[in-house]
Amino acid sequence: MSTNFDRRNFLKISAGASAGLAMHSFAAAGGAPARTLLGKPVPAYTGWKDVYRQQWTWDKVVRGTHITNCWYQAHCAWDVYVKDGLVFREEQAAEYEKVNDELPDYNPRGCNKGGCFSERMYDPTRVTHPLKRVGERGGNKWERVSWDAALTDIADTWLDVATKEGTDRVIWDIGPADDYAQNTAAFARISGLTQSVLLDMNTEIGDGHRGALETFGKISFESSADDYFYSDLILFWAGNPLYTQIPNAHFFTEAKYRGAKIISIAPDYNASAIKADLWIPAKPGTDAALALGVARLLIKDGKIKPDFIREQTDLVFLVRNDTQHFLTEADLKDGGKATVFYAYDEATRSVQPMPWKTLTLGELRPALEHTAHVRLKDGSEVAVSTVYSRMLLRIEDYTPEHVGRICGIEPWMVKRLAAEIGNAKRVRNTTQSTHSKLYHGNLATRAMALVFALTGQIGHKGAGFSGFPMLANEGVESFMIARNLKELDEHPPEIAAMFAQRMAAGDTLEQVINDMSNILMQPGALPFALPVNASGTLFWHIHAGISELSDHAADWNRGLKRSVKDHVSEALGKKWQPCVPKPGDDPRIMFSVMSNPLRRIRGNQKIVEVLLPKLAKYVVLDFRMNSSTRFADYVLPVSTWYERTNFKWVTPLSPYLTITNAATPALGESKSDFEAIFLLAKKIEERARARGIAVVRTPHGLEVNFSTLYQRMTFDGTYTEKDGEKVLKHIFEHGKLFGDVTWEQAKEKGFVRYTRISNDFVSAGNQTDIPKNDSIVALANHVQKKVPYPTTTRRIQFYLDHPLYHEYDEVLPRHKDAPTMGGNYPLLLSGGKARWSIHSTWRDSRLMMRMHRPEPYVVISVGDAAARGIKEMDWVSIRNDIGSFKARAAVSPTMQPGQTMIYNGWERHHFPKGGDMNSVSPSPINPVELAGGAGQHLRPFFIQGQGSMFDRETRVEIELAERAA
Amino acid sequence: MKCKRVSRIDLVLEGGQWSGGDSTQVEMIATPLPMQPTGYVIKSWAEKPYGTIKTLTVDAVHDGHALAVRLQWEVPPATTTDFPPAVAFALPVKATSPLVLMGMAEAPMHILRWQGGAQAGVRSVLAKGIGSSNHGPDVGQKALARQDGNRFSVVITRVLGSGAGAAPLKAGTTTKIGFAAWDGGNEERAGIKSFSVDWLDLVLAA
Amino acid sequence: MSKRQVAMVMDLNKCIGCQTCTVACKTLWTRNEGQKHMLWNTVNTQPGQGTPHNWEKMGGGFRNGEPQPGHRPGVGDFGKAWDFNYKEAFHGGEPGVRLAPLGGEPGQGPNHDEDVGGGTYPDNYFFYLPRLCNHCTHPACLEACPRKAIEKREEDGIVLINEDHCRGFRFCQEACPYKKIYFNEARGISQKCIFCFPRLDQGVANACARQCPGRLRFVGYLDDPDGPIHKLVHKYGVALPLHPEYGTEPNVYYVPPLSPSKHDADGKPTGEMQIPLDYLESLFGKKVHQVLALLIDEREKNRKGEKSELMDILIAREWIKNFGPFDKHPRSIENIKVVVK
Repeated sequence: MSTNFDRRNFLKISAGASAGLAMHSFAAAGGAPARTLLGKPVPAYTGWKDVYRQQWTWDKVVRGTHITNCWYQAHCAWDVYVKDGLVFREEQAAEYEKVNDELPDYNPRGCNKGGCFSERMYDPTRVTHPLKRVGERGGNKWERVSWDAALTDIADTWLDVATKEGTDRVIWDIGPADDYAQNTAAFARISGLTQSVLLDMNTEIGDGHRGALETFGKISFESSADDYFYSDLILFWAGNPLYTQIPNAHFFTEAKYRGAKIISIAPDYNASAIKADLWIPAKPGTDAALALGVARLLIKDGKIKPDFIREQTDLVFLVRNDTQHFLTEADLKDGGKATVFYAYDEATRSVQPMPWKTLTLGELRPALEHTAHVRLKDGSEVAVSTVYSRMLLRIEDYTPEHVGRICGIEPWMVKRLAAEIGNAKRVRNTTQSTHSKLYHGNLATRAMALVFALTGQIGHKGAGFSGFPMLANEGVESFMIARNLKELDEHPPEIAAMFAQRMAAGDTLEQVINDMSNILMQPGALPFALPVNASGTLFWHIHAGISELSDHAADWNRGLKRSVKDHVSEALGKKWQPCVPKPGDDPRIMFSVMSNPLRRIRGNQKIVEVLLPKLAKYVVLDFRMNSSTRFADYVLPVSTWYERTNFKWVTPLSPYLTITNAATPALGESKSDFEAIFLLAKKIEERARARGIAVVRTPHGLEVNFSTLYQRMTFDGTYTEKDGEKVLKHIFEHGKLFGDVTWEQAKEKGFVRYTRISNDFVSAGNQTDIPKNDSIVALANHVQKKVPYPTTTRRIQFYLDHPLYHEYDEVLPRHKDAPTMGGNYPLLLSGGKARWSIHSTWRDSRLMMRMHRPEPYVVISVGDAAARGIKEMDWVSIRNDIGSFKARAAVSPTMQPGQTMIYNGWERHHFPKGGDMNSVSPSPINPVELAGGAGQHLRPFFIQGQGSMFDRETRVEIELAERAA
Repeated sequence: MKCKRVSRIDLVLEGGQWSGGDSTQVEMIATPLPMQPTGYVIKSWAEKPYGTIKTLTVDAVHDGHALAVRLQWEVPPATTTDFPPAVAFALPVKATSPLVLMGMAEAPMHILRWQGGAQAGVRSVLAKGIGSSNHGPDVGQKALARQDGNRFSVVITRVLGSGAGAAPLKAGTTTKIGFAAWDGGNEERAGIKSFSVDWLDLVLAA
Repeated sequence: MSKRQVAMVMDLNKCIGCQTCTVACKTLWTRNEGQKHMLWNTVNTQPGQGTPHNWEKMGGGFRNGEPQPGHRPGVGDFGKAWDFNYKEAFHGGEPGVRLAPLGGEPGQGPNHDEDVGGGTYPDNYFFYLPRLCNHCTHPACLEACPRKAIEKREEDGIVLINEDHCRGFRFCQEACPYKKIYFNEARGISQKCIFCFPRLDQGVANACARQCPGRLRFVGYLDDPDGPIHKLVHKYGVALPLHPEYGTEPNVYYVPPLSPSKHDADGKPTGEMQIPLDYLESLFGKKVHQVLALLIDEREKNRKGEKSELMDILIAREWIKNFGPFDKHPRSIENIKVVVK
């Protein structure tokens, strides 16, 4: 065997050397003269150190960020370094000014994913040209087409569908990359002007924070991350914040050094539990029992704050013992309002109406525990008792021993937790979306909220209950609603009048904003075209066949009183919940905009089997190939976050609007999703004119005009596809959320601190100030300024007087055993956000896979693995009644026996054929989540009040599998 | 050893006669452990045999323009693939110094060293003492290597002539030549090698 | 011995294992030929196999001043940097084909046992240990190199492999007891952490330190009495070298980790920390006991509202002060300004 040498080449050179070079002198080694005997110049080389110095140079640097849904972790200001026309690295800007001398600053904010987007954007998953499917859907064969050809085909199909079947057959699947800025302006506008449907995905993805909605009337409220530094006790309850909130994590470890205690309540000894002072290894899905046990002890030990309870909660409200409904003015007086509630006033020893324009009690001293008799307007007398009295009965059984049995912990731990909470001055929990992904998670959140309300640990520095962190920009909503340029600056007269009238009548701004966002879920409710916001969960259930997975299985210990189908019909019939298009009206076109439903949706195989065959076109706009592009008819290439200027909603945890600047031109033919949607509108208008199509009547009685679509979309050419940045500037300046800072200054600096909470559909719930030199305290307006809550009772509400809650005995919080979701199998499959990806966005990045594991894995406890003969790295099959998938086994002592875990984000294409991690998720609807109705705070509006999809606590069996292909 | 003059080296390489069976068997021994340049090398090789290449079979020819040296040897089965097989011959630039010292400041040696593996090729090296070797002059050095199981055959060529830092070679003169070989499969590299102990005469036919 | 010594302190109580440091180093330094598998900075879960796998059993370093033979880690020990069948998976492969690492069974990467640790549930335990070259005062690598290709910089004690002189003999890999030296197969040279010397030379902290969102890294001169390094290493003595018994005198120091208390059968805390102290002692030496006690005491002071300079340093309210004299913004060097198109 000849090694490492090309003989033919050798001979040629050798012969040449010997024949042609008879010079009898050589050049000196390594130096001048720079010619050798063979005539090859020696390249100038200045030494190895300079190679490294050279490596750390650049041509240009701009501020940037990643416009993806990192949620709690969002957003971080980065410097994006460009060399030779390519982004070659990024490093945190790390210039956040200190808030005050006491609080740790926010620097350097960033994470491993953000630190390698420069790698990701050029990796082999990147899409650079429009692709059209060749052959069958999912056949993995593509041809390159022009934007014009793709848009023409899509526009013609759209016009066919809108004219022949209905305007609402066109669906926008808006993924977590919804920026609530530029791309939202584009798709909300085209939705409004065409009455195509936007799927609201927040509850569908399992971030609905149902229990927060039930208790506080909203989900969006959160304090700043530095506020933890003021806490004395931080509860990692149902979350893993040191894993899922990388840039915020230092506030926890630093608060600990400041003296705060940390208690972790989690089944597994996770990355956050290791930093705690106390770890309570409760079983999955038992938080409600633990919280009610704690609440019981707090009351018993006198560790509650009665004044807070009287003022801020419905616990003092009276409930009729005969009907189990709240006692209202309508019970007592002719013409009385059903929205005026009563308490027993200890000062006057009489039943008195509770104030409703404010939380201030004045002279009232409502009783906590009380039973009374009141005379109704018909003269009859009924017994009434306070919610508090009822709560005492409810939690009586939750003794430490009983709770210990449910939670799988020693009773002493329940007592210890209660003592720690009861004795701490300032307590905060951490935001988490675990409960939203549990079938009875709402009950757990309500029970936890009870602990915080009883102890008054809400609305003060270092103290608070965390909801859903979101902080956006009200300016984008003007692009949803405006019919003309003037309305971009001020509300349309119809809406302005509604606001004025409602607020004059005593409603809060927050309540009216919530109502307005509820209107956007009712197409045709106002006589002009607004975007159509529809429940994603119901869409997938009804139109994509997800309900087929769960409807038949009444035996999963869900305690259903009626079939889910019956519940859904009731909710749709009573207009509690929207489903657009209506059942039976098949969707025909779906756009996934930076959205990956074939990865995300629990039970996603049904989308392939049921939804895709209904679609004439499935169009995916993304910058990379993913689970969904694999099934697309068209893949339209979207520019990345370093190739366009943009910003996105953030969170109060880090209250800085963060802006990304175009560092380099978009690769290939990619365009921003904003530009793509405007070009589509232009093409639709062009094709409509060519085909003589103009006004089309919508199923909801409105008229849309396709022949003027682009004209109206752009406000007669003022905001065109080229004006993405102009849209941003408008959004930035609208509402003056950033004090004196100009758009140009903000763009250059890359971040700017909010000066107040935006009054938009998704942020208004925060109800607090943003101090320049201090932390943000969620819900402070309610607690300190006595502004009513947007609940039915206008208080933190524990008594949910809605028929569905009565039907399921969930009027008051309680523990319910988790349903055996997926069938009667011994293991509980739980999950969590990954360290290695934001959803799926980095999940198949080679760099991320190289740094951890290249294949999906399921974590199994040591005992469960041994019992099944499973070893580390074995391929295992995870199965239940619904389906199965294969993954590698990761055997770990951190896992509680009986618990297994698969982290979020793996793509379908990571799994061996035959199923992915969603294949075992039946995701049954919990009927109480279908609640709605006039006067109720339990109803759908933006990002909340819609049904959820659940993937935690799925029952599975795991066994050794054949080696995967 | 004798270096026969041939008409064209390339013809020899293509299968022509080398030195007509006039090969030289060069006896090799392991470099002395105490002379290894670092404590670590001494310590880590104290219990481990090296210098496994005991004999090199050497042939040399020239055609008036270039020199070709064929080196052949055999190694025991490899225990690692981390290090390449390597072989080298050294020629004095001016005066000779003890071969084991790898040259001296006033008596540098000019080495042509071939190695296999990922960085296969032949390198011109100028050495002025142990651990001091540096880039040597370009003398048109080339190599042709063949491995057959545990047997290696490597031909190294260079042009004749002289120049700064280069060992001069001229037809019809005699110079010195020394050898070193590394059994990479035994993790031999750097001073862990076998060598020819002393210089041999290299007689270039006129 | 160099005139001055730069050092790094990492507070393990603040490390969250996020690997931003690893990525920061990777994107800046090791994306060139032959470097695919290199992670000059790693973070591993302890106890665990670490990077390279089982490095603590690979020898090297010094015992009683004598160099010790060591194992030379190979690419497999560091963990394969897989390539993937992207093209097949997305463009033209059999429908539904799996995206998978090429080359058969993937084996275990550099961080395969993340979040596993030791012990038995619920008395199991783990913590994160970030590592880079320790830029030792008595560098085994430097002393092992027969080519004297490794230098310890006079001005700051940074240990560097001279890539012009290195011949890939890999004695340094064997001699380094921390196994933080990689071999570049493509170039035939050894490579390792350069302590971001081009950055430090311009007054900018190391990428791994400056990009650490956990804010656990401190950089500075050991002899700077006002800097955090001197205070943590010398004044309070809470920062300890890893495996001091390896005899190389590392200049990377660790504040050892506290952990939750174990529970007894009644669920009551035993006062014994979840991480066994003898395990910590095996990593950081006997001093670890007094360090943990001091951390607990100083934290308690803060809890009572008393001042604690040590806690103030570790909290790092003003993050930039973690870096002593290396506090310049990277953008401020070479006069490159933010460009907004």
